[in-house]
Amino acid sequence: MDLAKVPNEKKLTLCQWYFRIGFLFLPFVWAVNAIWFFNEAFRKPAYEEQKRIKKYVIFSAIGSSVWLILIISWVTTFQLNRAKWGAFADYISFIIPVGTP
Amino acid sequence: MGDNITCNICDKQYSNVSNLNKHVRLLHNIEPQVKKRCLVCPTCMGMFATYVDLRDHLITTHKVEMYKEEKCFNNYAEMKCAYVKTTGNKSWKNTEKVYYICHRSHVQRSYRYAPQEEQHKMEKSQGSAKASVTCPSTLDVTLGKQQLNAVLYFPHVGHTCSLAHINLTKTERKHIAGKISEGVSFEKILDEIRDSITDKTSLGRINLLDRQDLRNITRDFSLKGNIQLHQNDVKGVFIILSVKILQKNNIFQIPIMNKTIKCTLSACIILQILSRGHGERTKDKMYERITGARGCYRRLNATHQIADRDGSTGVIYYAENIEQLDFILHNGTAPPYIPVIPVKNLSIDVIKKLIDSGLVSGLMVHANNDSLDYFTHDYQCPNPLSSIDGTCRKDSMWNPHGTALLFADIPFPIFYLEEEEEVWKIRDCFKKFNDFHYEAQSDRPLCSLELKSFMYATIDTPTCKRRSSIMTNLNPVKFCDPLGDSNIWASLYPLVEGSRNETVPLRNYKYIVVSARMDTTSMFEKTVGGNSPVTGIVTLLTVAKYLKGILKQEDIHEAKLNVLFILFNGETYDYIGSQRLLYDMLKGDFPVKGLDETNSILPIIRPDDIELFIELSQLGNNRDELYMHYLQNRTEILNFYSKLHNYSEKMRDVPHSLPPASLHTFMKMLPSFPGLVISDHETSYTNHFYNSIFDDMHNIGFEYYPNATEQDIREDSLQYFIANVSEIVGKSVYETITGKKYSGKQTADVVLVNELFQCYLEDPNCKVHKATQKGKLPKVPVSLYVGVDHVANYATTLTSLTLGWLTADDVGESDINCSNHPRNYAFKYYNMSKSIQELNTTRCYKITMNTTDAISPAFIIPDYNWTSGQYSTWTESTWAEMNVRMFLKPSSAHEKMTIAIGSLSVIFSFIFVYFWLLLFLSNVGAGTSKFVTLYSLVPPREFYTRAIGNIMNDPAYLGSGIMCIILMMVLSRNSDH
Repeated sequence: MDLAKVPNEKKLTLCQWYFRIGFLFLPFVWAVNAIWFFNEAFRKPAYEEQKRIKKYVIFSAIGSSVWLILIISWVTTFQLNRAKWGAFADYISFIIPVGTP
Repeated sequence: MGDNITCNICDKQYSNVSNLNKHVRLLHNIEPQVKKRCLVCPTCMGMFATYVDLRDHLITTHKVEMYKEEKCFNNYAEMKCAYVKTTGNKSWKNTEKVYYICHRSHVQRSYRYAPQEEQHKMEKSQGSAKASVTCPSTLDVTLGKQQLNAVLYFPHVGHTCSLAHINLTKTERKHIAGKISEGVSFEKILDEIRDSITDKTSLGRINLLDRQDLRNITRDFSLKGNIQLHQNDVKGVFIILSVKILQKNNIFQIPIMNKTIKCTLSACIILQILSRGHGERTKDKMYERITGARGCYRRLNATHQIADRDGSTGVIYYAENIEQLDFILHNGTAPPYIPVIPVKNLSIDVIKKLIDSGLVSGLMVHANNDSLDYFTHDYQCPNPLSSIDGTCRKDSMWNPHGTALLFADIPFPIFYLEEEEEVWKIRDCFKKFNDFHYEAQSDRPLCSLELKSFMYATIDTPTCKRRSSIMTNLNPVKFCDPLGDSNIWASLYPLVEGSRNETVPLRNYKYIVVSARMDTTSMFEKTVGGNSPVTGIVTLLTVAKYLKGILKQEDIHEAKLNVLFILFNGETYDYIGSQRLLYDMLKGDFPVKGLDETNSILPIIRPDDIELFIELSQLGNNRDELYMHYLQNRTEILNFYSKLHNYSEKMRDVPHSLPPASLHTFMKMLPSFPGLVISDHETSYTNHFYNSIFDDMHNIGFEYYPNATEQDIREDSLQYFIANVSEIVGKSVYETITGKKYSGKQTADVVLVNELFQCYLEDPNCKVHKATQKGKLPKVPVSLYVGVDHVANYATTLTSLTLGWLTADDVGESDINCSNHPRNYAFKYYNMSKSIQELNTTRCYKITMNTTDAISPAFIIPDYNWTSGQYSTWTESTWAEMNVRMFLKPSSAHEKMTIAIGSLSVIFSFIFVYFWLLLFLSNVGAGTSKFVTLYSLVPPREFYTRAIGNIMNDPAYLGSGIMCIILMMVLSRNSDH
C-alpha cells in the first residue's frame, strides 16, 4: 500500500488500528507502525490528523522498544542460565541443543 | 479351479507349484531345488540345464551337426533369425559377456516337483514366435577392452527361419511411426511397401508388414489422436525432410548395423569403463581416513558423565616415551596438539599432565609390542556405589592398579589405534611435516588429526532421560539409552513334570544357583574379557554339562532340589543384571512375568527358594590356589566349603570377604542370603588387566588345541585346570543334592573347555557354536560389552544357546517338527548337533533355557528417585559418528591469507552486484541514461529513496523482513552442532 495515495483520515484509522492490535502481544505490529508512519508523523507538512498520528507513532515506538528490551534481556538470561536451571530450563525449551550441558 | 499339479510321491493335488513345494518339503522331507532352468530338446522333448548339455545331446543322439563360428557381423539381416537377451551382462576380469539366445527359444523356468508333462509350454492358438522347445543356437558376445567377439552356434533346430517371426527393427518402426503420425493411411503405407519390392533377394521382414503391425506401432508410439497432417513446424518439416532423404536411399530398406557402428559402440563402452572410479571428491583428496581407530562412548549415571568429550582437531605429535611428550608440552608452538603415544603410557599421570598443559585437544593411543605389567582402568574398588560397604577397604583393594580412567570425565577425546599400518601412516606424516624445527612450527603446514566422536548426552542420566522425553520439544532427539541386555538362565532339569501338553509346575522345590557374570568393558570400543568374564562363563557351562551327566532326574525329585544356572549381564556397570533379576524375583516375576502363585505353567522362584548361591568369578590367573569368599558363617556355606576342600586341597576359604560380584546385590537386599564366590584371588585381583583390552587369551595363558582329544591337551594347561574346577564344583553340588559322594568315573569334559575358550577368545565360529546354530560370524571375538538395552548382543544369544544345549534333554530324531513342539513357558525345542564331535548328526532337544531382561529397575520404576542410588543408572549417550581423519593443516599465515581472500571476494561480489543492480534499475527506469549512471559511479538518489520508500511504505515487506532476519538468527544458532 502506498501511503501517499491514502487520504489523511484513512491514515489515521490505519495507524490507530495498528496501535490497538499491538496490544495483543504483537510488538512487531508496533514496530511496523512506528516505522511506517514515521514520515507521516514527523516529516510531512502539518495536517489535521498528524498530531494524533504522531501520538500513536511515539507510543508504538515506545511499546516496541520496551518489548525489545524485555526480549533481549530474557534471551540473554535464559541462554546464560539454561544449564544452571536444569529441568525447568528443559521444560520451557522447544529445541534442546545436543552435546552441550 | 486348476487342481492339476500332483505330487509325484503321494498323488495329492495342489493349485500351484509353491503349495506343492511346501508339501514336499514338509511332508516328504525333501528340499526342493528352487527355480531350475529347463531347456527342452526340440526333437525329443528331453530336458537339459545348460546349452552345452543340450548341444552335446543333439550331436550325439540326434546326429545334428552343430558348428560354431567366431565372427563379426556386417549386417544385422545376415543373422536371419534374431537373438534376444534373457540374462544380464556377466562380467569378470576386464571383459563383459552378453548371452543372446535364439528369439524363438523357449526357456522354461520351473520347479522340480511339477510333473514333467505340465512343464511344456502350450502352443497359442494363433501361433507365436516362441516355440515350445529350445533352439540350441545361441550368440555369445564378449565385450573385451579392445574388440567385440561374437561366437555363434549354428544351426537352428526345431524351427525354420521364417521371416514372419522376426521383429521389425527399431529404425523401421520409427519410420513407419513417422508416416502414421503424418496421417498417411494404413492402406497407403502398406501399398508403398509392397510396391518397393524389386526382387526376391531383397525381401525382408518389412515387406511382410501387415495391418496388425501398423496397429501395434500406433499403440507403442501412442500415436492415436496425435495424428496431424503436415504442418510447417519444426517437427513436420523434419519428418518431410527425413522421409525425402530416406526415399533417396531407397526407403524402408533394412538398415545395416555395420562395423563402424559396432566399433563406436565398443569404444563407448571402453570409455565408460575407463572413466569409472575417477570421480574423487575434494574432501577425499584433503583427508586421509584412519581406519580401525576405536573411540569411547560417553556414559552417564545418576550424578556424572564419564569418558571423553566431543571431537576435536590438533597437530600430530608422535611421542615414543614420556620424555618426548614432556618436550612438546613445554616447547610446542602450534597448539592444540594431539599426541600419539604407545598404549603403555596411558596412565592417570599422563592424562593429568595433558589436561594441565592446556595444549592438548585429543589423544591417540596406539598398540605396540611392549609387554605390560598391568593395564586396568576400572576403579580400585570396582562398582563402588552398589557394593556392600566395608567389602573393599583402603588397605586391601580388589583392583589395586585401577586408574579409574574409565570413569573419569576427560575434557578431550581419546582414541585407540590397533592397526600397525595406520600407526605408520600417522608416523610418516609426522616425520615428514612436523618433526623438525619446533620453534617455527606455526609457520608451516602441519600434519593434523581430526577426532570425531560427538556425543549427544551431557551432565547425567536424569537430564538425558528428561530431555529425551519432553513433549514440547520441537526436535525430539534421543539423547541416551540405558545400558542393558539379557540375563540367561536354565535349570538343570525342567521346572515342570508331566507329558508334553499336560505339564504341571514342580512347586515347593529349592534351588542351588550356579552363576557367573556375562560382561566386561574397556576404555575403548573393543572388549576381550579373558579372565573376567570368560573363565567364569566357561566354568559355568562346563559345570552344567558335567552335572547333567552325573545327576539323574530322580535325584532332583527325591531331594526336591534343582540347579539353576544364571548368567548375569551388565554386572560391570553396577550389577545391572542381578539387580533386575532380584527385583523381578521379589515381585514374583521370575522366571516369567505376570504369573500368579497358582498358575499351571511354571513355579515362581523367590529369593527364599534359593538354598545356595554359588558365584564363579575370575578363575584363570592363579593355578595354585582357589578361594571361596563368603560374608556369613552359615551352615550351608560351611558345609559346601568342606565338600570343596575335600575334593581339592587347593581350595581355601576367605570368610568375611566378598570381591565385586553379583552376590553383592543379593546380600545388600537380603543380608542373610546364603551365597559364596569362588575366585582365583584372595585379597586383590591376580588379574592385572581387569576390564581392559589386554585381558586376553595371553593373560590367562590359553592356547587352543585344534581338533584335540583329551590326550592331546597338556595336563598343566588352562583347559585341564578349568575342567578340574568344574569337576570339583560339580561334585560338591552333586553331594549337596544327593547327600552322598559321587562314586562314578565321569570327569568334566576338557575338550569342551578347550572349544568353549576358543569360542569366546578367538573365533566365534567354533565347534560349539556350530553345533547350536547356523549363523556365520566374523572371525573376531564377539564383544562382551553389555551395550544398550535395545540391541541384543551376539555373545548373549550364542551363550544362551550353548547353555540351553548343555542342559537340554534329547527328545528324539531331528525333524522339521522339532521347533513346532507345543510351546509353553517351560520349554523350547531346537534341532542341534549331537555333540561337538558329531556336528552333522542333529537331534531334537528340549531346552529349559530362557532369558530375562537385564535392564536396571531404575528405568522401569515410574518416577524413580535418581538420587537414591538404589539401582544402576548407567546410560550410554547416542552419537552421530565416530571416526578419525588425518589432514595437512596449513600454516597460520596461509590460513589468514585464505580468510582475507575470501572476505575480499565477498566484498567485491557485493560491489559488483550493487553496480549491476544499478545498471539494471536505471535500464528499466530511463533507458537512455544507463551508461551515464554506470560510469559516473554515483548511484542516483532516487534509487535509494525509491527502494527504501518501497520497503518502508508497506507493512508486509517490513514485517516479513524483520521475521526473516530473526528466523535466520535462530536457525544459525541451532545449526551450530
